[in-house]
Amino acid sequence: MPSRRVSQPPPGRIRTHSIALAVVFWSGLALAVAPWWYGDAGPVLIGAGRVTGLVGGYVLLVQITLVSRIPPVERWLGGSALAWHRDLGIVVVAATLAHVGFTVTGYAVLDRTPLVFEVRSVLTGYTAMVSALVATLVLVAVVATATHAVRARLSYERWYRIHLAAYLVLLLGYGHQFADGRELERPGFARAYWCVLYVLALGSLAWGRLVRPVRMNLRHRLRVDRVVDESPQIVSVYVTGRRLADLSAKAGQFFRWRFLARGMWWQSHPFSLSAAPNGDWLRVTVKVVGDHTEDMCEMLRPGLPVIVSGPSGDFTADRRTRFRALLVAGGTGISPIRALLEELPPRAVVIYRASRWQDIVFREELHWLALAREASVVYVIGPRDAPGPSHAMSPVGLRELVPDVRLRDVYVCGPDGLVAATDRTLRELKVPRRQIHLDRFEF
Amino acid sequence: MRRALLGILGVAMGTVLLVAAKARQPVPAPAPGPAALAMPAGPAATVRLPAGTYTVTGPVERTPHGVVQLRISVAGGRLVDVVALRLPVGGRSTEVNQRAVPVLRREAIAAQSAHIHAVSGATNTSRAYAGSLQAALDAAVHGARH
Repeated sequence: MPSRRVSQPPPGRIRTHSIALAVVFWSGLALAVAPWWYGDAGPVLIGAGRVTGLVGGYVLLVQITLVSRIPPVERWLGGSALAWHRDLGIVVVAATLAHVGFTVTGYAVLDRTPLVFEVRSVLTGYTAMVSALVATLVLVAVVATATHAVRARLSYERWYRIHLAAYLVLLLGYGHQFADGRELERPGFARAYWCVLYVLALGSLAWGRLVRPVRMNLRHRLRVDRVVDESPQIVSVYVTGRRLADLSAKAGQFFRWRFLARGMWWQSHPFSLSAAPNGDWLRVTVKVVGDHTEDMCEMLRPGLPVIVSGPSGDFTADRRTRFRALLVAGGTGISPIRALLEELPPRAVVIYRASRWQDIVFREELHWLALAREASVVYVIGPRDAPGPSHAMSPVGLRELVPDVRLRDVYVCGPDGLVAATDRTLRELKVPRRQIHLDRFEF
Repeated sequence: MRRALLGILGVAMGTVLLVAAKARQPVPAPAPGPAALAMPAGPAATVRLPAGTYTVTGPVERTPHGVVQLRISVAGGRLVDVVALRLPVGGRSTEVNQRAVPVLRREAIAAQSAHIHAVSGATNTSRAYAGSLQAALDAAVHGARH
């Protein structure tokens, strides 16, 4: 039906903002370090200590902005904001430790005293230096628990509570910057500029995490409508509210959900919409794992108030660059894929990967959506190393299933392993990077 | 993870390059002629010390708790050491100065000027220290050597 294809909006233009963001980041960094460059010339080690300190402080503020959930970050960076946040966290720790090491060593060389005495002298001789030490220790702990190895062993709830301590780093670290920082201690450009940086970062945080969610929740007043079992382990929660048609959410995006039931209200969880927003209800589909999701089915009575923050994510149909799409879902990764199928152009191909048939959800919905959208759905069932699935997900197998894969946008959502493996396969098939859209289960 | 490693590498290389470039920044030659010498650098600017290796003793500065006097060492036109010849002693002064003087010395050498901020709890000593240091630096700029 050519007429329907013509009515589709043209592919979105993606990543036009990435250059702008890069320019903002680098010029901000240059201005942050410039006062040192034009300041006094001191010994080399102390100079290195100052540069690394300025870089660390700047990237820390960028870190705050990246997770502030302000609209530009959510729209332009989307999921990659979190990936950048994780990678830059390691950079902050490295810069901070280098700052501490260079400064103390530099002073020790100047004073011709052993390092141990120098540490004491620095801690007692300067204002706010003890709190700066605590900030460094907290920073190391927060970033260490966010690395893959440790993160995998912690529940989301516990990790989140530890990660909240990152705000302490900001609080405890800023004192020594303004009291002792050679560039910041006196009035002038450097001090004014760094004040602006702090105001921007904290303002973004307040705007994105407080003002916007409060306004949105007051406007829409979301409530649980009903809970539906999709499979023995998977439930769908339907949520209604006021003026849902005005909600700016798109299929493929997620909200952070806070259900106001006893014992649950204090934690919020990111879940993707499992159907495109339609003006009547929103739906999330959740697998019952973890501390939180188990409570969910029992506690979620109809009428229960829900507070959300979002919408977030750039796993949306307007990111496509082609007129056709391939969707790859693994496990509950089907949620955003199922929603996207409604908003993507017709003739999409869905590959739905699961270990067992019992884990498959939305069979009927996928069936009628496929009919309505001229799409085809391929179920790939079995353990990862079974011959069938491993062939289907290999470059050769994928090409057999979808011969024109290189001409399609590919949306992949699922567990880490599946997303990474599919990404590799797509690269081997020479699918251009801008056509690959990944959504991982990790926060 | 790859990006994090690249980031660390970038910070390391950037720091090395910046610090190396800064160390090679041309230090303006000592201003020739009496006109320039008549106007010594203001307190905020880095002092342009004459080349050579020498020491200069600063004047005695008074504080409510006692007197402060410094001697600066210059090598190759750079301030390399500050020795406190006289400091307020007795009671809390000794204790406060043990803490404050190393910090002040370090700040002075790092800044290459007398523009150093006061150590908290040792405001008077800090002020006198900066005063004696500034005077010693001015004297050095004017060619006084000991």
